[in-house]
Amino acid sequence: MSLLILSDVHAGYGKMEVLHGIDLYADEGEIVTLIGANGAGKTTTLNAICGLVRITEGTVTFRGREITNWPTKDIVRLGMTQVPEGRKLFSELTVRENLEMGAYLRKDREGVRRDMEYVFELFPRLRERAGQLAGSLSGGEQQMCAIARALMARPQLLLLDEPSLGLAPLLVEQIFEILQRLNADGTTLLLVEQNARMALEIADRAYVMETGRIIMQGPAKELIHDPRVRSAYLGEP
Amino acid sequence: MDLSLLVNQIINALTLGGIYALIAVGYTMVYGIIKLINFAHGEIYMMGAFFGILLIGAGMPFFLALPTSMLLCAALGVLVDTVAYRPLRRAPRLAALITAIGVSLFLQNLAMLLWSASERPFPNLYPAYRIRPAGADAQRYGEELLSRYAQELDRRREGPPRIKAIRRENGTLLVEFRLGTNSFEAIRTLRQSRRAVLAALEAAHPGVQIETQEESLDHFFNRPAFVLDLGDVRPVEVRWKVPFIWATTILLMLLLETLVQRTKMGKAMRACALDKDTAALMGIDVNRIIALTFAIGSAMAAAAGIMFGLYRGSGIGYRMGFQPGVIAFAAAVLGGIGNVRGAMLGGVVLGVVQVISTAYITDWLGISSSYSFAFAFGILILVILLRPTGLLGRPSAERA
Ligand SMILES: Nc1ncnc2c1ncn2[C@@H]1O[C@H](COP(=O)(O)OP(=O)(O)OP(=O)(O)O)[C@@H](O)[C@H]1O
Ligand SMILES: [Mg+2]
Repeated sequence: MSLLILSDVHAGYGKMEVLHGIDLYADEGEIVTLIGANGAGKTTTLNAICGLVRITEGTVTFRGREITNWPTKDIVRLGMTQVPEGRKLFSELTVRENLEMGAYLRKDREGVRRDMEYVFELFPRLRERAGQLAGSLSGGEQQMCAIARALMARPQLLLLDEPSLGLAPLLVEQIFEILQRLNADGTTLLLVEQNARMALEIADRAYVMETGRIIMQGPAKELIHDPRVRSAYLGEP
Repeated sequence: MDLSLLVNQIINALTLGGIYALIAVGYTMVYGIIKLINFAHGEIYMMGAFFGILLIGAGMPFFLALPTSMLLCAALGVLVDTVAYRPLRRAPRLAALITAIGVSLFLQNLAMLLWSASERPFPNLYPAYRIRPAGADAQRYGEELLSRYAQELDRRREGPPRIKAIRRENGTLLVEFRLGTNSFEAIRTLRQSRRAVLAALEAAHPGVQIETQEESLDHFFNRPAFVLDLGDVRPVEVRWKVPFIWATTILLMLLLETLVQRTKMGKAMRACALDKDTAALMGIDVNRIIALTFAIGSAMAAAAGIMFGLYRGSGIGYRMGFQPGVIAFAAAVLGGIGNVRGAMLGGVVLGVVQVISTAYITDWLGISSSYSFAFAFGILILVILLRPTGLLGRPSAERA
C-alpha cells in the first residue's frame, strides 16, 4: 500500500473551493513531484495533506491511516513534515532554536545532537549563523534553514513547497543533490516546484496540476518529453 | 523635601511596580500568543488574592498558600481559556475581546457572590500574644497568675478560636492561635480568660493588686529587616515583607525568563507567538502551549495578588483587580506588548510614576491624588507617541 494516498480531495478557503477532487499517491521511497502554474493549487494540496487547509470531501491516507482533517500536530507525529512555501522560519528565534523546533517531537537527545551536526555539515553557513536570529538571514540562508529544520524531524515523508525559490543556480543544484541523498536514505519526497525541469529530472513520478485538478500524471521521464509539458512548463516551443 | 518620605515612597513605588510587573507579564504573554487583550487578567489577580487569604484563613502556612494559590489560578486561567476563548480562536478578534470583558464581569460577580461585597483584610500571619503580669503584686503573684492563665487558656484550647501553643517564656506567657484566627476572636478569648483568672486570684488572695497586659506579636514579615540611617532626618525602617516581596518578584521573573528563553516549552511558546501554523508543522500542540501560557500568566498574577495583600494588609475585595489590571495592561503596552522583559520594565516604571505623582506632583499642582492614574497613562501616551512599539518592542517590520 502506498505511503500517502489522496483520494478525490476537495478543499478550499471559506466557501471558495480550490481543489476539485485530487487523486494522488506516493509510494515509499519515491520522489513524486507536483508541478503547475501559479495559483493551480499546489500549496493548497500540501496544506490539505498537513491538516492546515480544511478538506471538504475525499480522504487522505498516510501509512495506512486515514488522516483527513486531523490536527496538524498529530499528522506530523505520524512522520510527515513540510518545508512550507516562503520558508516560514520563526524569525525571532535563532537558527539553532529553529532547528530545535524542527526536532520538537523527538525524545532521543543524542540523535537530535547528531542530526544537528549533520545539517550543519550539509549547510556550513548555518553553523556560522547558529546563534543569529533566523529573520536576519539572507533569503538563501533562510531556505537552507527551512530545509534543515524539516530534516531535524527525520520525517518518513517530506513535503517540499518550492525549495529552490529565490536561490542562486549553484545552490539550487546543491539542494537538489541533498534531496536525492535524503531520498536514497529512505525519505519519501513530495516535491512542489516551479523549476519543473530539475524536479522532473530527479523525480520518479510527476503530476501536473491546473486550476485545482490533476490534468496529467506519469513517470517523470515520460512527462519530461511530453510536448504539452515541454511548452507549458519547461519553456520550450 | 522630606528625605525619609522620599525614600519611603521609592520603596513603595518599587514594590508596587514589581506587583504591576507580575501582572503585566500575563497580559503580554497572552497577547503575544493569541493577540488577545485578556481583560479578565485583573480578575485572576483578584482571585489569587482571595485564594491566598482563604487558604491562610483555613490554617495553611503562608509559604504553602502562595504556591497553592498560584496553582489554583493557573487552573482557573486554563479553564477560562478553554471555555471562553478557545472556541473563538478563529473568530474575529473583537469577539474574543468582548468575551474577555464578559469573563471579567463574571469573575467579579462570582467573587462577590462567594465572598461578599465587602473588602477583607489580609489575615494575621502570626496571631500570637504575650501576656505579662502587672500591678503592685506582680512580683509576688505573677507566677501564679500565669499558671492560672495558662490553665484557663488550656481549657479553651479547642476554641473557637483554636489555640496552637501556650508557652512560658521568661516571666511571660506566649499564646499562639491557629493561623487564620482573626484578632477579634483572639482578643475575646484572652479577655474572657483574664476575667476568670483575675476573679480566681482575687478569691484566693483577697485585696491582691494585680493586672495583666496583653501584647500582640508581629509576624516576622512585619518586623523591621533593617533601618536606613539617613543622617539628620528620620531613619527609614524597612520591614521584612518588603525584601521578601522584592526577592520573590525577582525570583519569579528570573524563572519566567529562563523558562521562556531556555526551555523547549518556552521556545515553543515563542514559536507559536510568531506563527501558529508553522508551529503546528513542527508537531507543537498549539492549544496546549496557549493553555500553558494562560497557566503561567495566571500563576504570576496570583502571586501578585497575594503580595499586594501582604504589603497593604487590607483591600482584598471583588473589585480589587480592575485598577491594577488596567495599569498592568498599560505597563505591557509601555514595555512593548508581547515582550516579557518589556512588561517587567513597564510595570516598574508605572509603579514609580504613580507613586511619585501621588506623593508629590498632584499635591504640588493642588489636584486630587486620584490624578496619579492620569500621570501613569500620560507617560504611556507619551512613550507610545515617541516609540509606537513600546520601550523594548521590536519594530514590527520583519525581514522576509
Ligand atoms: N489563504 C487563502 N485564502 C483564500 N484563497 C487562497 C488562499 N491561499 C490560496 N488561495 C487561492 O487558492 C488558489 C490556489 O492557491 P495555491 O497557493 O494553492 O496555488 P499554488 O499552486 O501554490 O501557486 P504558486 O505556484 O503561485 O505558489 C489561488 O487561486 C489562490 O488565490
Ligand atoms: Mg504555492
